[in-house]
Amino acid sequence: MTGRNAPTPPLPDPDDPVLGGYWAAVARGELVVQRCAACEQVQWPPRDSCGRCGPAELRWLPVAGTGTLFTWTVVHHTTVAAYAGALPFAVGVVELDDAPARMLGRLRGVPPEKLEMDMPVEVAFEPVAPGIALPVWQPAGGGPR
Amino acid sequence: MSGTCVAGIGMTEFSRASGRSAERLAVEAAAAACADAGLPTSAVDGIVPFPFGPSAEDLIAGLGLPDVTFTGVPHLGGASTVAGLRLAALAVASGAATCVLVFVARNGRSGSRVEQRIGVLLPGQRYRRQLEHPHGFTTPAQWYSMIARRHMHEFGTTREHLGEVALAMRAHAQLNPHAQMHGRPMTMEQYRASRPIAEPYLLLDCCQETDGAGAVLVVAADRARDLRHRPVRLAGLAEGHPDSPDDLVNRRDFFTVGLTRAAPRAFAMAGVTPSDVDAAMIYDCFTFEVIQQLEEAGFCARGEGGPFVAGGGIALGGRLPVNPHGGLLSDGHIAGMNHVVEAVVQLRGDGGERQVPGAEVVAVTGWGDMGDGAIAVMTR
Repeated sequence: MTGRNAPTPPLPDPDDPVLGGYWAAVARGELVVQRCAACEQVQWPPRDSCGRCGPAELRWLPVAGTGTLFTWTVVHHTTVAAYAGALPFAVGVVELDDAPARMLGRLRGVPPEKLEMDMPVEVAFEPVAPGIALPVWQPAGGGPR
Repeated sequence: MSGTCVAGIGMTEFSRASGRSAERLAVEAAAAACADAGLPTSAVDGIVPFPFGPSAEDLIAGLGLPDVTFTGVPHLGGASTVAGLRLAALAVASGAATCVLVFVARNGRSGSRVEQRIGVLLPGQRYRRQLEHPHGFTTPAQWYSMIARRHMHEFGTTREHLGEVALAMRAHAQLNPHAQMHGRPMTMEQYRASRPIAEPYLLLDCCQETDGAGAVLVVAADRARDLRHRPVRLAGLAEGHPDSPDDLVNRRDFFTVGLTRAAPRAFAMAGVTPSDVDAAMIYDCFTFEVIQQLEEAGFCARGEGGPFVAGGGIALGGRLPVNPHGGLLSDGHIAGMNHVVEAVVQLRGDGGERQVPGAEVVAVTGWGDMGDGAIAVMTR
């Protein structure tokens, strides 16, 4: 590492044995959650086993990528060099509309002080490295309501 | 376990730069705890270290202990101190050891600051590294501020309620010469004007980072009676874990944490209720966590923690004095070992200016990682 290039955020591992399928979906612009093939329970975050059945087969289930803003924090102090220039920024927890899951991600397209509890949001995908994208969340319909 | 007692307490000074190793701090606190109990250090035959910092081996070598028969390391983040106290009591009650040292020692400001520690210790490293860090979500202030914000929305908890917690801890520190914030009083205006860290958390919602150490000795009650101080009984001890203990945001009931489950067990074991508690030592890593733990331990109903702390409710002289020493917010942060020590000080009646009059029952909580919890109910 020479440190001469602009810093990148910590990157996910596309080959991770548990999360690799999720990151592959995100890279092609799709959001997925995990579902047990035996009992059909959806779980998030993805795990190596089903919280109900134990060592069962687990599959990926596409979701719409819409939800409501459950809570958020406005980051003014970061330990991540890649985000130092973006302060302040908001990271939110989004409760999905069509699956029992809350996903975490940066919020964009609206200043932090305009965020509202339970506001509708939708996912977007930001490429960060070859073959790797990050899901981010923005007001539904592409702008604040 | 109710036949076990804390017989000795020891602390080093708190500072931002101790000028010596964490191992040295641990040995100093351990030796002080032995001297306080009136026991030679060679009496220690059990050791419960904190999961980050000097090890049992360091203490065996550092104190020259002849024959240690029990060691154990709890893994509940900041709740490990109180969970470790329970481990020590279990060891003594079972006969695995007779005199167990529980200690925390760290150069938490000049050496390993909080970001470094959590990078090693946290559960769910896969989720931390892949589902959180890439989004710039990396610190405890960020995690817990999310709970605070939702609580504010659902229950009407306010900025002033958070400020009340910070002010009470700072006011208490003015009565404690050992506290890092002794001699530095604070007003609500100063609190509100402090810079934002992870909103709703401002700088003054966040605890100290501290160099220092603390230690206690746990022995059987019949042995404690013959030692230097009035014994303090470990009447009730419990730990608890939330659903999805490796993920803060996906538990269905967002506010149910380990303490929610642990507290009724500890109070039942001690044969008391929260209303019998004369003073509480609450793990105040951030202001809101005091409000949440007061609710989840049963000192008030869920949602009523804001009004409970308002108007000096947790200050000395209030309905439930919390952290007369100043807590992690204003005394210092050695993962709550100072809370355990303060509980003993209060139950001995040695609190001086900050003594809670007639304190007979004191509860100590621990909060760690993604909501692990532990609680000790201690009695005179």
